[in-house]
This record gives sequence, structure tokens and C-alpha cells, in this order.
Amino acid sequence: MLIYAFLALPLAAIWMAISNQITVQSFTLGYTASILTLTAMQPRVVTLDWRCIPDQITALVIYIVRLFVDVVLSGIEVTGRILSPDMRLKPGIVAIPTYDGTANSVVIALSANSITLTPGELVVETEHNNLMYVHALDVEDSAQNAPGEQKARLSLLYRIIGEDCR
Amino acid sequence: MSLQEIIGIVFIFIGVFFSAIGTLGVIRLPDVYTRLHASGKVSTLGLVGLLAGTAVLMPQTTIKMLVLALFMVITAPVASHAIASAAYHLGIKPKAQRDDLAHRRGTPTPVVNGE
Repeated sequence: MLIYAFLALPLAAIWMAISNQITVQSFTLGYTASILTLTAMQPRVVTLDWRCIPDQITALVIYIVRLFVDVVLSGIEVTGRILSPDMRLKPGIVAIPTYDGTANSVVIALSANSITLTPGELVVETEHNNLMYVHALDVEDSAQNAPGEQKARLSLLYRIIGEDCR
Repeated sequence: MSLQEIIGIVFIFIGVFFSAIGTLGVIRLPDVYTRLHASGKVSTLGLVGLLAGTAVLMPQTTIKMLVLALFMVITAPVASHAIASAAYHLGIKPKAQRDDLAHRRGTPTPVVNGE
């Protein structure tokens, strides 16, 4: 319970930023709504433990920065293809393992999300046997690089959900 | 014109450029799945550029624009994925050199019991 009171603080700050009113009333409203939402949601898939929170927040910030870098890089990459005369297309769908032994739904969702933002790749389907089916603009390239990238991404995602901390 | 205005206008031009390229990509690319690459990624970058330009031109909205950009970046892939998945389960064939998912094309969308 007490940890919700702590987690509601950044949510209340975001509410104040969005409503553009940095007042006590706006904070109280945001804070109350955040606590109610957290209580209703019961985020169980993520480890909630005081010791883990600093590392989880660091990992989350790294993840978000990487997300923005990926958006810029993949946007430029796809733009290059669109503007080139033959578009250098070798499209196809490849199966890529998630390497996620725990089959945690947050990990799968975040993996799929960030793969869709890496240059030239888009998740079409995920399956229970830990495979993601990725549509790629350049199949051979993606089939080669994506599994390695996914392995690297997984350790960061485990830090976000606090898997090692449990 | 102040430096701040110049930087803001440059960002807005970048945003408009990528939004236009995203639209051009939707027209040029050959099938549903490749088109989603253009509408999903390039247009997201265009939006982020427009939001960055707004944040520079109106500094009091910076935090709001940052939060908006984050929401855009997190939710845009979800829309692309949903459309791609729906198209695949409807049986729309991709122009592909290799298709590891061929065994599932045209099957009904699976009902997954989430956690």
C-alpha cells in the first residue's frame, strides 16, 4: 500500500505538467486519482519492492531514451528507402525468439513495442512458444541482427520489471 | 528572428518533412505490411519533430510536449501491430521473399487469455 503512495508521486507530477497548473489543488487531484488508479490496477507483473525501485527507474529511463533514438534512426532509415528509386526492398516475415524463459507479459509487450520501432521491422504476431513473427523490409539483414539485439534488450527489460531483484 | 525561433522553425520543418514522406511512403510501397512501416515509423518521427518544434517555440509547454511525445512513441507501434496482425489473419498475402508465419495466414485471430 505504502509503495503506491510513493509511485503516485511521479504520476501526480505528470498530471500537473499536462494540466499546466502547478498548484496544490491540481497536485491533490492528480495524487488522489493516481492512488485510486494504482489500487484498481494492482500492477502485479512488476516487482514492487523498495530496494529495486532505483534500479528499475534507471533502466526505465535508459529504455525510454533508447526508444526515442530508435524512432529517429528507423524514421530516417525508412525515409531513405522511400526516396530511393527501387526502394531496396527484400520484404519478408521472420520468426525471432524472445529468449524470455519467464514468458512475462510485460516483457513480451515491451519487446514487441521496441522491435516495431527498430529500423525496418514490425511485429505481426507473437506466439506462446516464445516466438515473435517480425515483418522486415530487409529479411536477411533482420534475420541476422534481430536475435542478438533481442538478447541485449532482454536484460534491460528484466531490470525494468525487477526480475533479478525478486 | 531570434535563435530560439530559428531552431523551433527548423524542428517544425523536419516534422512536416517526415510527415509528408510518411504519406508518400504509404502511396509508393507495395503492400499492407510495408506500408505500415511508412505510416507507423516515419509519421511518428514527423509528429515528434512537430512536438519538439512546439516545445522550442513555446517553452512553457515543454513538459507537456515531452509527455505527449512519449505517449505517441509508446502507442504508435501498437496500432501498426494491430493492423498488421488483423491483415494477416484476414489472409492478406504479403509480397515476401520468406514467410515463417505462412501456417497461420487466414486463420481466425486467436483469443489469448491474458494474465
